[in-house]
Amino acid sequence: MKTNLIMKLTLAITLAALVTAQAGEPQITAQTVAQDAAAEYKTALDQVIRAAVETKDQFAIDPNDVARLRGLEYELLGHTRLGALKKADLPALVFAEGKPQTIEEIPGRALELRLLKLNVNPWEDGLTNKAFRHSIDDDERTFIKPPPTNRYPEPGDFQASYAYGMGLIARREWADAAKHLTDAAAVPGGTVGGEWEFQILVTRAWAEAMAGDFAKAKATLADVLAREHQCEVPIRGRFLSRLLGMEGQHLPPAVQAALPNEN
Amino acid sequence: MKHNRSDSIQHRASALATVLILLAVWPVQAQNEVKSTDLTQALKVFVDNMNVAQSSEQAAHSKAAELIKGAEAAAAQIKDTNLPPQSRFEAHAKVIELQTQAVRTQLEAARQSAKLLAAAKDALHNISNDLGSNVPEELKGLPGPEDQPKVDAAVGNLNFPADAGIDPETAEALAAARTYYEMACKGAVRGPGGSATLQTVARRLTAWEAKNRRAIVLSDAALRRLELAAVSGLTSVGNYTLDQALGPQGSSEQTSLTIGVAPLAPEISATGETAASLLPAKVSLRRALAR
Repeated sequence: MKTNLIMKLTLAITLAALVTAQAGEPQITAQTVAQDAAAEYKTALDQVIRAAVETKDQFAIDPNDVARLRGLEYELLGHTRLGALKKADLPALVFAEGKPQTIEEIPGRALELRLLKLNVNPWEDGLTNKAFRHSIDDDERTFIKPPPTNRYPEPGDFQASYAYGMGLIARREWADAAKHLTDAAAVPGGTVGGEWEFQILVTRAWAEAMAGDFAKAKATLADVLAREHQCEVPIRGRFLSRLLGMEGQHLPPAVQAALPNEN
Repeated sequence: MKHNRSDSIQHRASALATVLILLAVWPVQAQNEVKSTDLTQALKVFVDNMNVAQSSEQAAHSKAAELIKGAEAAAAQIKDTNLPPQSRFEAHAKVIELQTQAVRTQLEAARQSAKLLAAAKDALHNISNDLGSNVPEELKGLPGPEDQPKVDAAVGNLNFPADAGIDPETAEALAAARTYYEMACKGAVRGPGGSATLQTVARRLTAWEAKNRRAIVLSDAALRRLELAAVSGLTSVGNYTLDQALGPQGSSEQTSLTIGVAPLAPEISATGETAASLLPAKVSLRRALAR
């Protein structure tokens, strides 16, 4: 009888221990699996971005990776439509939202979308409503930022080059935009404080990244950060420099989370 | 005795084990509430409220029908000129009383239904939320399903080599994900109610609510008409008394005006005939001066 009682007690305590152990385990729900899919998508895209940043040659992507990313996008969109994933938790979808025009544009577009979701616009250079001064032969001149245009600039007209370059950015013609932005930053004598050139060259680095040429973007950014400038490095510049492995740039945590993970 | 004590120990041990198991299970239930329990609760609230509203309406309708039947019998007495005026006025008052009771019964039921239907609507909304189908705000700004074939075409047109291919497994996974997405798009209908079934139920519930609102306003208007009918009865009684006090006013026709369901009181003169008009009888100036 006593043995029987001890056996029953042991069994009950074992059962209780088992159930208690299970209580600590996270439950698998529609929400958790949807979040898993979002994490998988970010990891897959991170790998693509990392590969693009680290490549020495022309960026290339395996068609299987494209199909896998696209499949994950369909899955995430389905999860969101069925209410398992909140729209706010949906990662930026490089194909469904970004619609890249070329393979080379995929990593840059993914980064651009991530920043836009955080209200950081890589193309917002902060030059609006500011007057800039530069001197030519002791003649001081003042100018303001011109609006984007389709008119091809005259040689040496840095303001027109800026306007045309930004028009090309809007049309997402990255290589030509980078070329004209180089001309736009070539101000005779340089502007006072250097903010004009600084911001334009950050934009140029972004254009090069968008074209998939991260090596060139890194060189441009290293050059621009070494220049004398009397302005703060904008978040878009800090983000790009951190992406390209240039240390010393602080980022807000939310923006830092948009960077691709190392693994 | 020994056996009994052993039984008692065993009993207490079993109870302890049960308590231990219950304590162990409790956090599991508290932390991870089963959603279907909430859903069942919401469904119960929805069905219960609808049932109570329906039975309450039916009961009110039956009671009102009985009262109106009684009122019709009393209304016949108003027109019966063989009855003494007092009886006809009493019949008129009875009609008004019964009709008022009927309308009030329906009004109360409609008011009660308004609360019950609102609760049912809330429960339906909760069910929609629980099923994840009531997400119109969430769907705003999402890439549309109709855009996805274009996106696929654009992805296919990226500058891949012409012979670029993918593994069959990857192709299968992509096709499966696309099918899942298309299924999700069909299942998640925009607008309140979510799925087609819930939308239909929500529309019918909304129609019932509207009908109920109309019933409340109509009952309210009917009560005001009955008040007017009661006032007309008072006027007639006043006229009758004045006629008796002031003497005959000449011939007048018997009428019984009806506004809606509520008959106005019969106009009865001292000669036993009804007056033609509800307006106060005009007094001749000459006659007034003659007094």
